[in-house]
Amino acid sequence: MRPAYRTHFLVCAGTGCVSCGAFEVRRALEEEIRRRGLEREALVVATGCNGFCERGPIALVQPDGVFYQRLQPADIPLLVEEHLLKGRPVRRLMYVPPGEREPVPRMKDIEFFKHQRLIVLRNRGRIDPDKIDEYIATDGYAAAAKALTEMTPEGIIAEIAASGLRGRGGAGFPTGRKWEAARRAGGDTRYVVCNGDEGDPGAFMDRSVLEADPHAVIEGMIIGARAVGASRGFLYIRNEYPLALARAEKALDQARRYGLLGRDILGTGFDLDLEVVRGAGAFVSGEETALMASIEGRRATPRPRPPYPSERGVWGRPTVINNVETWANVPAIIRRGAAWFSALGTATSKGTKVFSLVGKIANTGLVEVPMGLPLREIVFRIGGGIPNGRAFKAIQIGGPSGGCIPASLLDLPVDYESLKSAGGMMGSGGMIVMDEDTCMVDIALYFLRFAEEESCGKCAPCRAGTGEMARVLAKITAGDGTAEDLARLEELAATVKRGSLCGLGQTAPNPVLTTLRYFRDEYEAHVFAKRCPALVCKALIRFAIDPAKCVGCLLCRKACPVGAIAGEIKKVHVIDEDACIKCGLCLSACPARIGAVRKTSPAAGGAR
Amino acid sequence: MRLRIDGREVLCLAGSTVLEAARGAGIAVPSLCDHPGLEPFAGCRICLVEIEGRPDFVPACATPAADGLVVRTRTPEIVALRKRILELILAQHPYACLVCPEKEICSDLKATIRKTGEVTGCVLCPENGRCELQKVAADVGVDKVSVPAVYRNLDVHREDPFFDRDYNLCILCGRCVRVCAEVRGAAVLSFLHRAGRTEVGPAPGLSLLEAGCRFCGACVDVCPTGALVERAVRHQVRAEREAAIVCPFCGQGCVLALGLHQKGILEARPLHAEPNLGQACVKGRFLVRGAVASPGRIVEAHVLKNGRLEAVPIEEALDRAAAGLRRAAADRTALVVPSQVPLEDAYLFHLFGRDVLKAGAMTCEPAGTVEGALLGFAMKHGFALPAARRLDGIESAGAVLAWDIDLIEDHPIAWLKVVKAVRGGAAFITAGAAAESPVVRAAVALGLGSSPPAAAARLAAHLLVAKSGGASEVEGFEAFARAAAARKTASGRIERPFAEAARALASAETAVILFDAAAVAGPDGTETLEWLWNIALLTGARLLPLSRSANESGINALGLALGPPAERLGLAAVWSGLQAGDFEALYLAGPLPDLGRSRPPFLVCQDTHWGRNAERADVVLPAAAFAETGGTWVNTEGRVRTYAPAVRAPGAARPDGTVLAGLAARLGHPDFARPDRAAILGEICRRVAALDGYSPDVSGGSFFLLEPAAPGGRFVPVAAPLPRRGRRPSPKPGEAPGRPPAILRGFDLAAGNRGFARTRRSR
Repeated sequence: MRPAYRTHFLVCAGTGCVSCGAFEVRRALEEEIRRRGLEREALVVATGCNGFCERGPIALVQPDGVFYQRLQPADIPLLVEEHLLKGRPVRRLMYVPPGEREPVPRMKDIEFFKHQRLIVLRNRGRIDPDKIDEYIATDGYAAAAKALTEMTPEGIIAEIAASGLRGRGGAGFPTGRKWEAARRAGGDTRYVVCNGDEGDPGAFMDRSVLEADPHAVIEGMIIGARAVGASRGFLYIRNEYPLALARAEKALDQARRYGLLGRDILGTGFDLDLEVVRGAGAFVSGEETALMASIEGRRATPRPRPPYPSERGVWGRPTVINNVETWANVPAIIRRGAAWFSALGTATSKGTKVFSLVGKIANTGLVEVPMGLPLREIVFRIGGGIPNGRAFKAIQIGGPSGGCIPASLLDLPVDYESLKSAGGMMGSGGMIVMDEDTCMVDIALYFLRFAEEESCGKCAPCRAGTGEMARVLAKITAGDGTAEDLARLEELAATVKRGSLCGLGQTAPNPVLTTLRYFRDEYEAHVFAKRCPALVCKALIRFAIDPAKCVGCLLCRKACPVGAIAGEIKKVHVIDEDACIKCGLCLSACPARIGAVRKTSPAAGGAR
Repeated sequence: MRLRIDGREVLCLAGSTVLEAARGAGIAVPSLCDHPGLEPFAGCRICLVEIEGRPDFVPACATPAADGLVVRTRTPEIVALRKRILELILAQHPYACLVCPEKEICSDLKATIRKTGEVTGCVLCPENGRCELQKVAADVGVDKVSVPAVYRNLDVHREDPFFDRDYNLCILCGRCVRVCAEVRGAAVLSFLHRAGRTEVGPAPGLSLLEAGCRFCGACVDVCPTGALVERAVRHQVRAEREAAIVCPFCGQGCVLALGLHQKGILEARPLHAEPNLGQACVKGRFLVRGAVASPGRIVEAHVLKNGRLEAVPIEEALDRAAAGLRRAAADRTALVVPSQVPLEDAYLFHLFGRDVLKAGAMTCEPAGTVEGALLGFAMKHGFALPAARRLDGIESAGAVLAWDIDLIEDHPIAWLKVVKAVRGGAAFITAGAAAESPVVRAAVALGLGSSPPAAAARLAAHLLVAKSGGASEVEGFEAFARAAAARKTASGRIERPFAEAARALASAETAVILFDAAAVAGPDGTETLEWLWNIALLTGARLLPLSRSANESGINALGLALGPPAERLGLAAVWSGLQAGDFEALYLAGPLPDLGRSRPPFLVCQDTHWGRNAERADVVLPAAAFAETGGTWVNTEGRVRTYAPAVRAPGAARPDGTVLAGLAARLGHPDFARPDRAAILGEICRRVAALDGYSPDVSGGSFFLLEPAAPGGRFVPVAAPLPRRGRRPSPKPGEAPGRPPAILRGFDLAAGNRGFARTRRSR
């Protein structure tokens, strides 16, 4: 029998913390505890991602609820001695909110965690994802048992439909309707598929869920398979997520061993087996028809819909495809009821949504918030605002398919419809925050290049159109844009949006369309005045040394890699603009108190 | 189904697409990637239309028509969108030919030296004039392209036989990829890379040859641009006219369109007619021109003078032949008749052997034929096998058993139907050397071991288990069941596939068993056929024999109707007779292995191409080849088709019948000559009952020489064969069906065509 531990150290073992050394911290903790003979009093547990990746490696000490962050193995002896032996939490290792001096000791008091509402991520930081027992101990598989023993398939579907759950992969199709369609489709073979091919740059919601709570996804799939009558399913997971793949495989093994998968599950006569399929390494593999082709062993390219997967899916059989987050919502809905779930959120968007908050934001990480929360809350309360005293400029939501929402729309509630009306989309939930040093034309070009590169090449508008749009944008950032180029860009965007075969192409122009809509003045500055207001586009900026401030210290001259700076000690230095490659090293070399080097983007002569 | 397209009420069949419905009603919707017979791809996005109630435009090619749909194909928005999409497509395809201000007068100036076009792609493009992209650009109304052109500068693939691949002209419509996988079951081609670097082709780094391509040419035929073009016509002028012929290279009887110009045949393309419906194989697609215009053709008559063959006028050669044949005793004269000639010439050969030469031995079999085996079965058991010979129906079978038959190489059209069946879910069972492909894999592969009849018996034994009691009321069942049960079924490594095959055959609603001479004309052939027949009767499967040689079934029917001319010997008997020195004279018009020392004292060779035997002959008579004689051909299904001569025969070559008439006159039969070839056909139709009522005007699609015999029959007694120890006896020359000859009369296709030789070597 396991001893009743006095204290649990819950060390985060999400990919972010692991990359900062969480495993070393865990090893040090275990060693220290053993050295002091406290093995029967304190237990070290590796949990899934807590979401506060900015502050990794992190550890939560329970039952006190004290939150330690940015731990190093060297901190451990002190931590054990002070916290465990003397009962004095270590203030030095606690979280200090930006701009404040006093640390916040408890996790539940930290702004980042305080405003979140956890359904999908309910087990994050609480259980060891590698142990099915811990999942079961936190009500795991209770929903599956309820669905299999107490509910009819129709009842399950009705419950999901009543909850108002919509697909968390981007388009927001009502999950209940999707299941209903698959259930009604003919034939006796059906499949359930989990779409874990999260490819948006800067998004890691699905990875975190799979790493932190793989059993929640499996349980959701068991319930879904029971509802639609599937006896086989696939977890399609990106090959770039080794930890998620390993945890999913392990979780499947455990579930099989416990009789939760396989033949005659829980003695109900219901059969289901799930298997992991490794992603084919392309963004488009996340498109559901391409994903099905990939499962079948073919090249991952989309096909036109209808027929929808719920009518003709994998190997031509009715198939339910939901993404990781959607599946992870299902057990909670079944266990706690549709009414509980639909009480959260807005009229049309129910429940919560997980977002990955990245970019120019103080608290980078993963957050789960109720639908309908204003963007401002997410960025400034949970995210802690913009670091380094810079101003908020825009937030890019929904990855390369989404749009850039400007500061004027910060009070927009986050739900499917509002985001769509603003020109963006929910997407899978990536949020990239941008400050005033971000050039919106440059950002649009970045996303277009991504879409161009990831186009599968099947349909002409996406294959050739995204490339052509990127070419025009590159021309504008190079300062060669004309008024016709702006019109051309809009025409191309319309062609790609309306002409493309799948969602990837149809949404690829969104970053361009939204930036044109909200930041047109910036495009016009590039085109007409030939200047980049954010001082990003190299062709449009210049570096100069203010003769009044330069003290002739030679630092910038030494830093310049191309010898473009002339000057002698104690004499004013001068940048040769023809030789300058605009690398910006002189700017960083010049001491802040001097501040003689200046980056500018002057308007070209005769600017409008 | 009833829908509204552009304000018009349109009716269409259930299951058709919006595109088909529109086109059926005469509403033109441009499209590029769509192609009849291929699954919708929806990649080019040119056929986008608006459907009321749908938020997005939909591709007409991939949208099923439904009752009450309201479709608009030409709203200003769609017309503009189409134009802009096509511009994007054209940005990666040299388009000078589309927007050139001089394009109207271009065709008159084609003689321009073709050098400038490599980049602009105009005059050099081999498809200029029949390019679908040009037509679509005209339909969509693109006269300028605002997107800058990107010439991808890809290397032109010239490493494979028959055609070049210039993917700089490719618009990625995917037709070649789809036809290769969906229709041909080969899947040699695929898309490679992605985004702007997307290409089509075989696996990276491999040539088509190395990737297992059979060079059927289907990809070339569906390519809408000049990316895939037959090398031989790449830099040729356009064909001036077309003529339809029946391919003589195998028993399938594909209809080909010959493109002709002053110099003769330019190319051969499959026609969209029964039985091949727009498909062919490497032989029909790429070898016709080389075979007819071969440098090995015999174009003048030759006689042996002073130990050397010398070209002489045809009269002199005929005199010499007549003299030699007169000197030999009739019963010590042999005649070898070709099977790859039209019915008209085969008929005259028959009469010539019987009435003029009164030859002691005559054969037209290149090797054992399936017709001979069927006849032998009928004579032995007193009833004809109710074998329906038509290929239709294979595609809807639930199980296909290919018994020791290389469908891909020898029966390509039957193979296409098997591909369709297997893609539709049929179980594909192979036995022995039957071919499969990467897409159309055998669900079960049966080994034949040392004795094919024993293997058939083993299958029958398992079938009795799988289908217990079935067909027991049919006469002869008891004896058959006893014989089959003598082969005990068991489990184990060897038995398992047979059990699986039996289950698949027994559970299929309709099954078909395909075989050819390779299975039933050898030493064990009759026994195998008996087992196969009993299996077919037990499972209700359809027995489908396939003849391998062009006109084999027609000539066989002719022989049956006219009665045996003399003692009808098999080729094997003639061969051994020759080696024993039984013959004084040999009239050789068909293929025979190199005679070597067994050359009889007097040898006449009447052929289209020079071969080892012709080079040793006393007299060589030049014959016209298939495209030069025209005539009536019967394929394996019994489908009859007559075509007119497409090109003139070279030099002194004349149709076989004409040569025979000249010789017959010299041998005392002046009435042998018929006024014309129509008269010969008329005579045949009068004498062959099954051809009664045939006239050349009747399309080959509807007239069948072989109508299926009435269903029924009984189980035939079979011995319980025990597997023989050791290897199968190796066949004697001329006796074994072996692999079919890749020959046209005396012409070895592989020896005469380097490309074809490479395709054979690669396997």
